[in-house]
Amino acid sequence: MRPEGAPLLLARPPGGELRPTSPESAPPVRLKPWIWPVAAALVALTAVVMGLLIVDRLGERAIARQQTAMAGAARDYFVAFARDEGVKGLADTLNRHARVGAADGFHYALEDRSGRMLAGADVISSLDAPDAGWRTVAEPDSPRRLWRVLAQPLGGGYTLIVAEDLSARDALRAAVFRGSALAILITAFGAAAAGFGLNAMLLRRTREIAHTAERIAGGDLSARAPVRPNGDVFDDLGASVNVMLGRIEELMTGMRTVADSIAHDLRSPLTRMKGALARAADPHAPEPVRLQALDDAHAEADTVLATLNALLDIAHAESGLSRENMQRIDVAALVLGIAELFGPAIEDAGQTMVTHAPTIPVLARAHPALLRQAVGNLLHNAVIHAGPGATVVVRVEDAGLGRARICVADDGPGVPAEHLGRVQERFVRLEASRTTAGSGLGLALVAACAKLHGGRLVLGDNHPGLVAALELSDQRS
Amino acid sequence: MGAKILVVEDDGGTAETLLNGLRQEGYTVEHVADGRDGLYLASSADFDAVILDRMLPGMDGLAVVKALRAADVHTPLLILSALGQLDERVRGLRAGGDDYLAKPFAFSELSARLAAMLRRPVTRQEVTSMTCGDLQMDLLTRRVSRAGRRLDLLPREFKLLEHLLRHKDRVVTRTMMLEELWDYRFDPHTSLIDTHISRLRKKIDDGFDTPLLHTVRGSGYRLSERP
Repeated sequence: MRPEGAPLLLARPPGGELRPTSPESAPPVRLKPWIWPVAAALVALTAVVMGLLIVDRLGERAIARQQTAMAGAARDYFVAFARDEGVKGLADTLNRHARVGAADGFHYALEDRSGRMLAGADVISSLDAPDAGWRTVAEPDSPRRLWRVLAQPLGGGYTLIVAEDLSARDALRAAVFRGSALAILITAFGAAAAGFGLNAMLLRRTREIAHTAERIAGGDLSARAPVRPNGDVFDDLGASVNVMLGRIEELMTGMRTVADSIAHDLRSPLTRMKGALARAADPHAPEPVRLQALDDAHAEADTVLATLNALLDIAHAESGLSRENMQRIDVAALVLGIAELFGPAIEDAGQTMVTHAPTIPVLARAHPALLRQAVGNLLHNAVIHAGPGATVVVRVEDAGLGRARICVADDGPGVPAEHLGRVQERFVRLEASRTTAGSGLGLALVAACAKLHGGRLVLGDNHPGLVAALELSDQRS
Repeated sequence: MGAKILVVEDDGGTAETLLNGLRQEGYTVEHVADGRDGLYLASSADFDAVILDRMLPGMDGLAVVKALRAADVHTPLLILSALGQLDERVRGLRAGGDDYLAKPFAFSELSARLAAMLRRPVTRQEVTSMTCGDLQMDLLTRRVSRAGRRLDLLPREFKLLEHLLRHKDRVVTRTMMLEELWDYRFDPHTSLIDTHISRLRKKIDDGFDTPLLHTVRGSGYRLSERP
């Protein structure tokens, strides 16, 4: 029934835990955590240097433009002053200005035709002023100290000299640069610190989830990603991962249960079969006893086969492969046929069967063989569990639009409400039915059949008894 | 009997059981283990029936069936398969097989099916009445009587008796009845056919000297005058 080498049961190593096949074969892929911070730091450093250069250049230009404008304004002011107040008045003002001092680095002087200084700051007398216009000159005593000198003829042979101390301009430029550099560096360090912190946080959070995945891979299916209340996207991710892990664990546990159940359910009949075969092989046993033993062995083999067939049918229905054999059929005729087949069995169990079905065909897309099996399982359950004296009602309803509903109801002891969901699972048998024959696969097949038909199996209380409703609604018809 | 049977089966143990059993029942049997050889033999020589495994080396069983039917060879064909799923039977019959039997099977089951298959062309003719000893069935009026006494049968009992009469003097297995009368797969936990048979037996045999409906141990039932 199954290819060589494909085990029916989950092979479980002695440790009882599923281990990863070989830890060496797939080393955990680790991204190098220092690469990103280093790259970011390099980028930040380049940005800081570029920023400082730009600030320096822009500051220098702005200062030069400003100073030139100031010198021009001062010149225009004194030219107008000389026109209004005369050369004498101008000389007085310039002398007064020179006495107060030049905090802004500008110095003024008045010279006559021969270049002799009449009034103003003394420092200008040592400078080599041009006849007219701008010139940059060095101080004779200290050649490193530069001045920018503007000569403006005033008429009458007088010349107004405006001298700007460039070292004052440099000091201003340096002050602007220092301030900007400080601001840029503080920002850069702050950003870097925040970046490192964020990076460390991202690493820590992703590692927590990765660590969970590793524990799962290592066989600890109960591992879960940490989720904080009022969390962030990582907690969202962790929560989603946890939902998935929960489902996986549920499925794994389910498979393990099924595997254990298969092992148990097959071992019992196989053990009985071995016993029967041993009795049959006993040469001293009388002939009728040996024949009976062979019959018993046969019956046990049939039990094993029935369990395997039921499991294969369920797996087949669940895989959806059976869809290719679905066709539009009269569901009512199919159900009535199976009801007829079970008629004598129900009578033998001391029960009565009542069938309700429309006289016109109930057409729906269905898998005939599987549906017959499912309806048969429901009727078989009624025969076994409803008890003598029960009335079994079989009902087929056309729910319209290619949908149909098959109900099998009895007024027997029923199933406790808390077990109604559980009995649809594989190998689930309730305590009350432990002693009767059965594999616990009947309703699981009905549920799988309903699912294949796009519907579901609904179990409910019939007050008293059990009502099982198999809904078919394959919309592709 | 002496009918010529071709067995195409690659599993040694199954083939041996089949060959021994069939020879004991008086059939002339030929055996090949490969799908291609099976197709060649089945289409060239004149066999009365072919027993074909579903999974074969060389050529898939279903492909052999399809090739044979495409070549207009209509030898009755029984497919054996370890694929017991509900769909496989449909697939096998759709491909052109006349019957389908899931492994593992009892030889008595195969033997009964083979016998039924070899007889099939004859019984397909229109019949209006059938008899077995003093039991009579009229298919047109749907009346059944035994020794002149009218028997009152339910539709399901009539259906069952008709099937048994069509296979008179031969073993009909529970599986064959379930499959052919109700399209239902055999489930060993339900003695469904036995419950039907016991009711039918009560109606046709109770109160008469010679029983007509016999239980064949380990196989099924047989309707016959002979015990």
